[in-house]
Amino acid sequence: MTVLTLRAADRPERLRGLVSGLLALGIAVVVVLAIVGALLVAVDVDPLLAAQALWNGAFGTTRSVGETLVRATPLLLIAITLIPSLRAGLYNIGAPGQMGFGALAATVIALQGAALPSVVLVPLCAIGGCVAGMAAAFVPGVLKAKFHANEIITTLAVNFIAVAVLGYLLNGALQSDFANLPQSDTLPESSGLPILLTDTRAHLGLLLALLAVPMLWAADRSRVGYRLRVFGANASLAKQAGVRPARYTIGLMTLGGAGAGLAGWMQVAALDHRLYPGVADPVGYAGLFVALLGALHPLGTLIAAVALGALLHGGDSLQVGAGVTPEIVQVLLGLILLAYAVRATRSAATARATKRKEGRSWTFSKRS
Amino acid sequence: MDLLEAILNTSLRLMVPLLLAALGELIAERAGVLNIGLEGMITAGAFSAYAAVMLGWGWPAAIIAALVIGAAVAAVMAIGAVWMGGNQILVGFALFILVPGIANFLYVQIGWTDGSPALNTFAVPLLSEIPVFGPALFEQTVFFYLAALLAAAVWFLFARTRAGVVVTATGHSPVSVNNRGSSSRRVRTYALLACGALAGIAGAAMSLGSVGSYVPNIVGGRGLIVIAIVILGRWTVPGAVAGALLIAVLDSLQLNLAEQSGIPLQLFSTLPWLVVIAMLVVSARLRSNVPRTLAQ
Repeated sequence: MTVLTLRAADRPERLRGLVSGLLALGIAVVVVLAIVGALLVAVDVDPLLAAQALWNGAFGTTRSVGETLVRATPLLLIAITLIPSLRAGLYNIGAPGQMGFGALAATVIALQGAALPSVVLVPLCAIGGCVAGMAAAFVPGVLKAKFHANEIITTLAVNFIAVAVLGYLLNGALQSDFANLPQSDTLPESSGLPILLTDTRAHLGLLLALLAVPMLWAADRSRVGYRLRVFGANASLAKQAGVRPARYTIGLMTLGGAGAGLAGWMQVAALDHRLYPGVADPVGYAGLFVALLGALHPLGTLIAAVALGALLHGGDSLQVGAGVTPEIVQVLLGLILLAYAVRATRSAATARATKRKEGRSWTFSKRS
Repeated sequence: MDLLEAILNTSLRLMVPLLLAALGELIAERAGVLNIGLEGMITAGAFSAYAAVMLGWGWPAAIIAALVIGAAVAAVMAIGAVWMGGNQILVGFALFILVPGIANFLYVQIGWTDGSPALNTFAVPLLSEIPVFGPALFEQTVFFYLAALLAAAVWFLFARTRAGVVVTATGHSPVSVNNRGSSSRRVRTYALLACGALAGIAGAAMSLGSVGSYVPNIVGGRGLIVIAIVILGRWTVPGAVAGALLIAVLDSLQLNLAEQSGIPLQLFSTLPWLVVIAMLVVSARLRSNVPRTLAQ
């Protein structure tokens, strides 16, 4: 039933998904701001002053707009590659770990290939980062498909393992001779990415991330995209129709690591020019939020990425502007996710049983 | 012999918060709620216990504060995931992000920097004189005895009481519980509140018992390790005790052996996570008494 109606209901369903996603964003913003405001008042900070500092930090000058875009870039990339797996009910929350491994691979390649010309080295680093990120997601994918190991716990475990591995390498083999801190040598100039907008740090990666949006849109309309939706809506039916669940699970999880791996590469190649243990901190879990807040829709994701990019960057300038620690942004993110989570349906089975939002059920199916 | 004694002692000390949290998660999962937000509940307990001590309330009040605030976070989870029908996993993940965020924010913003005096250990007369095992088992903080007591209580709950049977039944088939005239939602809410209270005490055991202070990210992912412990323990109390002890022994090996062996500290810290992954793989083969409606 569901499968047959999927295609017919496709277009209006998608639009409705976008509208309801935007509506959710609006409601979430109001409720969340009220709670955050109360928290700020509790520690004697003027919420309006903080809001003003946040806005100025995010959009005040050309430079800050650029910084917002810099933050939005990895968020968008991660979110776009996570969306297919989220639609199938796989929660890959290993983006920080996959970013870490991606950054590690890119750093090693850049340092080893310093003599190579830029045209060769940049793509090489990108591919290395991407593959490393995918490998870090492939392992939990295999564990999920073959051993039914809960992917939330395994991907999180990989995050902690990544931090440990980076800490180990940066205190030993990769540590710069000129630093007491755990950080690598500076990456060669030839591995850097060209700047896209003058006077900012917005780099070529932004273009890559923007390119991913229509790619997802096109993939949704392809044969594989259709099969994926069938798989997400009803895995056992898909199995009877010749879709192999194990292969799809592994494929989707691995794809989810690609964006994070690329984001890790961009972080070291375009922005920091060196590797350090907290390389994934600026982005962390926020890529997953972007995908969810964008209602798993390509366009909604783009809007959510810019909004969260502004929030993350504006949050950093709060310390200077209003004397508020950046931790408030983590509170903000958590509240947003909470506001969102309580209205997400529990599982495909529940949604079908109650005949509620039938077409949407594939969006948040979670098989136990 | 000294080394063995040191490892045994630190293992049992490190086991306490893990065991307390595992008991809570066990109750929640038996009722069919996969509580990813456990980390948030532990953090809430850790911070509120520390805050209570800093406000000069004394440690008995601090433990009670941790218990209450932990349960309050669990109430948010219950409202979102049980009563509003939200996605259990996402609500839990939101708390996983949100609560440490609030705790860290308040900690930095308020600007307490002092530690609280570490809790005194309490030696049981005579028994603590036993060589090797004596100090480890009978010379610990109050949290150790509390954890042992609560483990026995939770075991008794599931093995011998009607309430325990109802909780287990809710996890397997909420519909039959509803048909019988009880409310599966109410059972799950109570289970979550118990989970939050236990996780809160676990947090207090971390901040007051082990560290003597709150530090940002004090829990450091142990909430997730605890979930893996419950899965490997196959949703039983003895299993949870064994799992918590295993992770604690690995942690204490890291503390005690890293200095002496050539293996770097950072690689030792991956060990619990590798064991957790192995646990998940192994337990998938064994699973038989998994609550049938877990995470639905």
